[in-house]
Amino acid sequence: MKMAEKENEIQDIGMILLRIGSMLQSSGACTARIRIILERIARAYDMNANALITHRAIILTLLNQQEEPVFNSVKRTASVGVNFKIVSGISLMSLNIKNSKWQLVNIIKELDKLENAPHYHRFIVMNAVSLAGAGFCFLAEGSLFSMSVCFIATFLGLFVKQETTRIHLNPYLCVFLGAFTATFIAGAFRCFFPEADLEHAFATSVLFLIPGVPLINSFIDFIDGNLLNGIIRLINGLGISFMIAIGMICSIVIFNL
Amino acid sequence: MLLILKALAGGVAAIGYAILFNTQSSSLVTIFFIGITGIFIKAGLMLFGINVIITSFFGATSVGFLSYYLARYIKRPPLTIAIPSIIPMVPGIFLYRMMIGFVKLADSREITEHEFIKLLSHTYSNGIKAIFILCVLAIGISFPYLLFRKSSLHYIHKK
Repeated sequence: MKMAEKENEIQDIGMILLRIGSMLQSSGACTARIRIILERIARAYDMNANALITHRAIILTLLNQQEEPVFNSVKRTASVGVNFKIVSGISLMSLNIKNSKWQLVNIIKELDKLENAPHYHRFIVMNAVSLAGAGFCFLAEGSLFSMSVCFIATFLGLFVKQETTRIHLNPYLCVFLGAFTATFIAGAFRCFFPEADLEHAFATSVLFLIPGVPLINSFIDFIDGNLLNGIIRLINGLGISFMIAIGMICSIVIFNL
Repeated sequence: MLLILKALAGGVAAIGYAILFNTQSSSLVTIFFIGITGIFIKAGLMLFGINVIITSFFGATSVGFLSYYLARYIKRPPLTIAIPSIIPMVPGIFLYRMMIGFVKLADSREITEHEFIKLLSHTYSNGIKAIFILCVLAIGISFPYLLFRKSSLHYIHKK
């Protein structure tokens, strides 16, 4: 009976670790961080974790102290989007688990809490990102009018991107539509006010779409030797950049800029 | 004065991205501070006539180190602070000019050979600048990782 209980506990730990790995992968953590967290938590329960972490799935093998495999399973990773609240929360939780071994039920509760943690209110997000766009425009030496145009273009571009994401359109298509909307608005202003130099507003109105997280994570993965994941993230980042470029080119052609 | 305004704009941009990435509200002040510092260093060095690639590298490295150390105090993974803070340094205007150049080059029926070569050189120059800046941003932000990651992995293996 005790042996069976121990086996059940190992299975539970394995499934929790797979869930943690999957959550981290889909929230924008780099491969090295996922591996460190999985190893850290497994060690707290006197096991070693060997994981194969890919873009779409995680394969995990747990070894006991005699280096015998006691758990082996695979979990698919859903692509959710960047969420640093989950990455920070799990990282902090893993440190707490390392310091004081948690009951498994508490880990599950914490993961549920992190998964259901509220995002910022949509109105706040849209305004903050639009302000960031205006800030970008100022950094590119745009005028006050350019900044205002950039704010409006970013606001509407982000709105279109959020709405298309909500109806589960292809992510690349969402980026294209977001970029096209933002540059279309900025391009329209540029056409109506040719005397105002709105080049900076046009150029910076799409910067809310730049794939900063995939590109930086890709570089970190390359440095750490996780070449396969690095290549996948790089191609993903380049794909997003390409769709932004296509969206901009459509507006450039429409307004003959 | 313009430098301070630019640095503040960088901080605002960093906060915008932090909110977009759903970073915890307790990290926002740190991100704002690091965003300001990064742009202040980059724009400040540019006032001395230093190349934009070099200034971006110093700005990114300062963001990398600041986020690495401040992350310890607020108990957050360094990258969740560093990534939103670095994004204001992305060379958007160079990327845009490169793309416009490509579009014009693709539709170059009515321009002379001299104009074509001039356009090509401008496009090439903007593209190279943008790519190098993106590379130095990634290197700069990863600098503390490069220096300290080995030790942390070694520590985990020893445990």
